[in-house]
Amino acid sequence: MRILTTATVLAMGCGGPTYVRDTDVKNLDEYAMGTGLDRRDIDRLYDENARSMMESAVVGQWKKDSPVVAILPITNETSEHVGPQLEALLSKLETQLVNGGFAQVVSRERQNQLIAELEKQRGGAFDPGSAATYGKQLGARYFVTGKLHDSAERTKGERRVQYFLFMQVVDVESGVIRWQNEAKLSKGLVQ
Amino acid sequence: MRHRAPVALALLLASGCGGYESTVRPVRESLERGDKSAALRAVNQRLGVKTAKQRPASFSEETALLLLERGAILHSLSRYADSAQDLQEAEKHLELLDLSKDTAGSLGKYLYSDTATVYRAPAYEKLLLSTLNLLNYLCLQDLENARVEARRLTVMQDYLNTAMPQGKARFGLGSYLAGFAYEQSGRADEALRYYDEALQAEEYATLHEPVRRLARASTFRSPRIEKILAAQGGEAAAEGSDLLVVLSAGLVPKKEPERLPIGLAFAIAYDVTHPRYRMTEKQRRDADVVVAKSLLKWVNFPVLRKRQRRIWPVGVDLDGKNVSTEPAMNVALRATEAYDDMKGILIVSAVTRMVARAIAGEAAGYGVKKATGEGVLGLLAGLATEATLIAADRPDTRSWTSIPAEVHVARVRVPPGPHRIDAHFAAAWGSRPARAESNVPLGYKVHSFVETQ
Repeated sequence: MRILTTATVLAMGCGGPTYVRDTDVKNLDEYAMGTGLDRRDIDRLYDENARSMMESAVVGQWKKDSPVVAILPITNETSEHVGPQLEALLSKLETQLVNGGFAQVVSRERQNQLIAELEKQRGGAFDPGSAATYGKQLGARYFVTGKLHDSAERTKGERRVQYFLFMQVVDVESGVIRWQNEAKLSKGLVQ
Repeated sequence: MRHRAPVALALLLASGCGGYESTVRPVRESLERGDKSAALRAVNQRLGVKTAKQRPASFSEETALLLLERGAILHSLSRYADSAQDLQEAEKHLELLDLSKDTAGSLGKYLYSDTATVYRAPAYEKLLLSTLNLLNYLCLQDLENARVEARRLTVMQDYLNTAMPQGKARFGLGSYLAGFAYEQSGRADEALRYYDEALQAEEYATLHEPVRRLARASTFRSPRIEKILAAQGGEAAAEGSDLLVVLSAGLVPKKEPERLPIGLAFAIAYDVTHPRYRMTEKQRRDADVVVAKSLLKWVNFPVLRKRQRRIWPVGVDLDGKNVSTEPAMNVALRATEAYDDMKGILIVSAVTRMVARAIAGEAAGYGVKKATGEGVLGLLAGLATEATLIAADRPDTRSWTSIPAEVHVARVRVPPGPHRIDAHFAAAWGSRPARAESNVPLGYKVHSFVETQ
């Protein structure tokens, strides 16, 4: 470990940038490199929502029924290109639901194909208002979805993005929201 | 040896370094010939990469600007996903530069060289960056990321509205495309708000029909929207998909280094009345001394080299029938206005730099003469000091040079299915058509044609 660190430091000392891994450089995942969402942010948003969801009455019921659940995309309503990070967040949720045996989760690959087909018919737009239709077509009893909003501001010397992630579980048949939670965090570029 | 010193000095004095302009010249020359692939190769070479998929290993200010150039070139080659990647990467770095304090650089600008400061993109470049990326995502049928760019445009405009005179942050084409992204997402309120912004900037006739259609699903109103709704004789919208064709032509004027006669430079510099940038009384006295002693003949200065209009959009044919087009944005005019706004400030910094240089040269010559008693050596030492400073003095020619001079749009409703689109550009040497076979889906389709000569 010490040799690796020394090698890294020596390489960095030569002037140019060097590729590293988290095991080589302490705190590599700690500092922010932009106002988008990094792994630490995703973990934070996910942990907050997942804890609330797992403690909810609806998931308590799932432990008995093991219903079919679809996980639909989180709509990005922010001023940052964080689509792939939101996909990662949903994959974490899928993993927890599947491995925890809480529900039968519709394969997201199948879901994405269906959604892509429906989007194509609608001219390329995923319509959150049609989520219940997507859920029905997937044979799901519930679907999990969400929206990420932001309040982004800039001044002469600083920029700040405040994120708000709303997630919910909806009953496909009735359209009733069975669980909802908000998690928030802020990123900034400051002097 | 005796003759070498004056020759070297003369060479130093004569060699005006072009800075960014000389770095990007092969890229620009390729675009001026209409050879976009050669321009891509040239910009990759300057970035130190082999393909447009690669990112440079390290970042400097020029790298961020070169990524902007590559993003525009990739867009012109219809490589929209690669273009979007470059523009996002460049924006991140430009934002870091923009928000940095750069005290040392600001000082260097007055003592040493314009390029000593970090590059702060002018407002029109910042707004065009989001606009071009919006267009990339619309061409990719990616509405979610198009809306992200629309919101980025709004954040930037909100900021510029607080930092610039009223109306300077308006960017009609960006608001037009932002409205289009929201309209196609089925969000009438936001679409109308963006279209209203676009109508504040330009009279877009192609927005009248969509505004009437959207107004049926939204309660948002403004004097401009009301005026369109009140006008009689508007054609009813045909059923079908929205086809938007964007025609971009020419290249923005670029900055080049030029030596300005000292008298003219001083006349302009004395005219600057901005409280932050005008010359102080001491700077004026120093300048007068320098002129009286004939220590200076010229100043290095970035001029905006305007180009003759060589190519421009004239129309679009859809399946052989003409569709009307309208001007959407005069980027060349925005670049010229931005330059004119900064011209006096650039002159002041160039003049104060030259005065500092002349005084340093004079002091060095005097010092050597005093120490050696040799007048010739003193003169040479003075000249050498001044020559070194002149050689280091690089007027700031940094700007985004690969963007079009003007943009036009055509918009029409078509039945979904295959269509043939012919875009016509008029050029000094005759007309130049460009064709696209388009399979228009239900909803919308966007085509972008770019001619760079």
